[in-house]
Amino acid sequence: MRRPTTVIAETITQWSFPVIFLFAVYLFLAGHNNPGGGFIAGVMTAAALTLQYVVFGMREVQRFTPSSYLGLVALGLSLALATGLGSLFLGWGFLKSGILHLHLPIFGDVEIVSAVAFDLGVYCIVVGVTLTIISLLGREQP
Amino acid sequence: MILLLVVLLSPFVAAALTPLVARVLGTRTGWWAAAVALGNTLALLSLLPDILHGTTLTYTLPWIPVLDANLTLMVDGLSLFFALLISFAGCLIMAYGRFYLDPREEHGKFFAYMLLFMGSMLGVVLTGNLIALFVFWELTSLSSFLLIGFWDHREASRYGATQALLVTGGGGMAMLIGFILLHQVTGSWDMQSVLSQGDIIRASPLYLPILGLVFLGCMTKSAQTPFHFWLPNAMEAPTPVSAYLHSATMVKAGLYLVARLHPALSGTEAWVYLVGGVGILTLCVGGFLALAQDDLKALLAYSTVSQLGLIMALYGLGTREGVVAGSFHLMNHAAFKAALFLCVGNVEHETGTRRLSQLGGLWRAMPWTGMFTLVSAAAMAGLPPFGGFVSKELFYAATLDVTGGAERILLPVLAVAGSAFTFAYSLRLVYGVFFGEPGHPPKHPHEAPLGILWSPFILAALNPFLGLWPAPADHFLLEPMASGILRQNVHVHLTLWHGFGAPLLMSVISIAAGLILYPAWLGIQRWQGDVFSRFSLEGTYKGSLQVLSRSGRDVSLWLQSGFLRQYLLWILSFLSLVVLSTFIWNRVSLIPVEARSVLSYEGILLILTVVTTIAVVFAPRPLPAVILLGGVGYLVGILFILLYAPDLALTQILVETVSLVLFLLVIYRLPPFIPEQASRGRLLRDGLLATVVGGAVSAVVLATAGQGYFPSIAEFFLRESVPGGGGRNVVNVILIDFRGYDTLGEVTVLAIALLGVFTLLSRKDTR
Repeated sequence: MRRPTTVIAETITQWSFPVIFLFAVYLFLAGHNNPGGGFIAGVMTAAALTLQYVVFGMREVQRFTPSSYLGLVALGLSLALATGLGSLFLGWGFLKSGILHLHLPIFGDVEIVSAVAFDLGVYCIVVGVTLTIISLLGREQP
Repeated sequence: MILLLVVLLSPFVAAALTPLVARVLGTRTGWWAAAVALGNTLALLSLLPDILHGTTLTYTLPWIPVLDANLTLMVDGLSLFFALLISFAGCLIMAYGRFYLDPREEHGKFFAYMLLFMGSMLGVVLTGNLIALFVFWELTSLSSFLLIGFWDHREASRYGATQALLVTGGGGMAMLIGFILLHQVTGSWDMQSVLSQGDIIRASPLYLPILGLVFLGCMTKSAQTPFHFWLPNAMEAPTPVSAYLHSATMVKAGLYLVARLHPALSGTEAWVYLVGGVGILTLCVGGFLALAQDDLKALLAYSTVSQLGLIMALYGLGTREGVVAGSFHLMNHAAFKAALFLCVGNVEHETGTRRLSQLGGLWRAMPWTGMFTLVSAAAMAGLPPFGGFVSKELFYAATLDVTGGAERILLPVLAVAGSAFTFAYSLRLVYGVFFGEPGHPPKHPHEAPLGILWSPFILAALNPFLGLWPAPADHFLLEPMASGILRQNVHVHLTLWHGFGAPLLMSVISIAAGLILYPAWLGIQRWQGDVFSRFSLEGTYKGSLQVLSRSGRDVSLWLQSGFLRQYLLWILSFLSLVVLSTFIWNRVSLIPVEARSVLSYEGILLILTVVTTIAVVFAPRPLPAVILLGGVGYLVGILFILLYAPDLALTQILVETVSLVLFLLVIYRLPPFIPEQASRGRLLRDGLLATVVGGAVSAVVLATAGQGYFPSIAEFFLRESVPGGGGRNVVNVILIDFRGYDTLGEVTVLAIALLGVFTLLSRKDTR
């Protein structure tokens, strides 16, 4: 069933979706030093996908999302856990952050914190949870 | 000694591997299990020279050193004897089980459970830490549950398994409390340290509670009156299990603990009356009940109860003679009772029944089984030249040694009475099965195959060995064991012939009394059902189980009615109760220290929020209510911006957006909304609750705002954010680093909640 939407809504969504998604990516990367982080970025992405769903329907959302949303949640959880266990096996204690200072040609001085992987796990979980719920709720009524 | 750890862990590892092994070996899996047990026996034998020198071997594997919770292994004569018994009996019985079990049974499952039990039981006797002992103790209860319920299609098996688990597990709980009290007194979980503080324990006001609680655990495990009822019900297990767990090893765990704690707890009147009294009572009750059973395994079960009572009574005397006699009888009992169980297993295997009323005259058909039964039963009855005779003479001698008032006469009399019963039921067992009128069993009887004959042979052959030539058992097992119990060097000289004296006279009296009692079993059978059910707590067990399940159901129906509003009612009232009572109790001041006046635009925002919130309550339909609720969320988000909390504001606004859409999707699927005419009383109740909850939460906010009860943790986070977490956004660093554990927990909860949502929404019959 095609939802009754207007051309205005469709056009706005088409143009704003990449912007929102890019903003989410920015929030994720900026999170360690500025407002943002995995959770917020996850909710932002989820909001963008929800918009897409409301305007174009589930099929359109499924075109550019992983096939298994529960799998995405599982991946996120494993990633978060692996970060913790990783530092444990290096003998630092569970979830201890490692900080890597890099000097890259274009970006200049860059710090990579191991907690970024943890944050990515949180991001995957939040996106996966939202997608699972909207895919279940938005199913056609039997 | 790393070898100790290997001995302890190998059964567990083997149990885990058994399902894989069973795929290859199939019905021959029993050999694998028996090989593990044999390996353990040999490994333990290699420790014997050290133990004979009087050394106590220890091995400590730290687990939580701060809490003194270590896996300490400790081996002295007592532990080594029990460990050898467990491994050796395990080896014989598992080899027996390989032939006893029908080829169609699940051999892998059976032997995995058996090995699991063996490991747990070895843990009980090898550990030198009270907590570890408790854990292994409960593990034996669990594996016993699995083994009794092995034939889980039978109602009686499930009943017996559950009962054994609840009774022994319940006793284990009491024991744990006893251990905790013991730790309070001695300040240590370590067995050696506890044992060396006997005088302090006995002088402590907690002595009686400790003794009572720990002994309650021993009583339930060793099936002492009035907890003996679970053992006959446990006979629903396959016969190798009965032979192994319910005669040779697990039921002796209670005796082990009584023996182990001897230096710490014995030597008082309370010990003698409690342990000795319960033991001698159990001896008589068990013997009396055994005499009139029709089921052979029930007869053996009550006989086990009775014999365990005898050993308990000997340990309860608290004397050196009592300890020696009890330990030697424990050895004999393991030999003759395991053999008897296996013989009964053979009889059942070949005739298809174990009812005495259907059996008789089997001697001609099953001469070997008959011979082994005869020898073992004679040992049980205390006839020369078997080990049982020696230990019974020692028992009589020990009861005569007691000084004191009434018990000086009562104890020998009860000892003779109990032994008379023992003689009578042993006679009934042998005569009823192998002699007299031929019975009418379902199958035509013939001798058992070799595979299930040689295990009872070895066990039965130990009996004349222990009687005629007790020196090796005496020197290599009994002396170290008694020394381990008493924690001093004990020298024993056992002989079959003690000369003419009071013990021999008592033996003669008890045999004569047994001969008189034997023909009376039918009469006893008629009236003992009524009289002796009173000594058992089985009625209480059933009754309390019923009360528990009924009240459990009632309470959950009352608390969890299935209406969301009911759950909210409970949760919110409890929250208010906790918060408000804490505040009133501690007279918390609700006036913030650092207050500032509200700025005008903040005021407008607050008023808007309040008005929107009130509008939510009075919204006519769900849809406007949801949208208005979203409005409240956005207003709070704006407030966060004004209060310089960009992370919070961002999160609030985003979450509000997404949850609003999800909420609308939910409403789309809900059944049509029917406005409900709530009664005035309920409106009043809900309104009151809402006010109270709101008040409680406001009170928390007011009380925590700048009261300075504790030094603020914010300083630490601000200081450590960059060096510790590598980020300048303190909020985010807290989330993913300092409090990463919390976040991990939260996302896990989120994933689990999602699984719930998934299950609910995936159902076909969604309403």
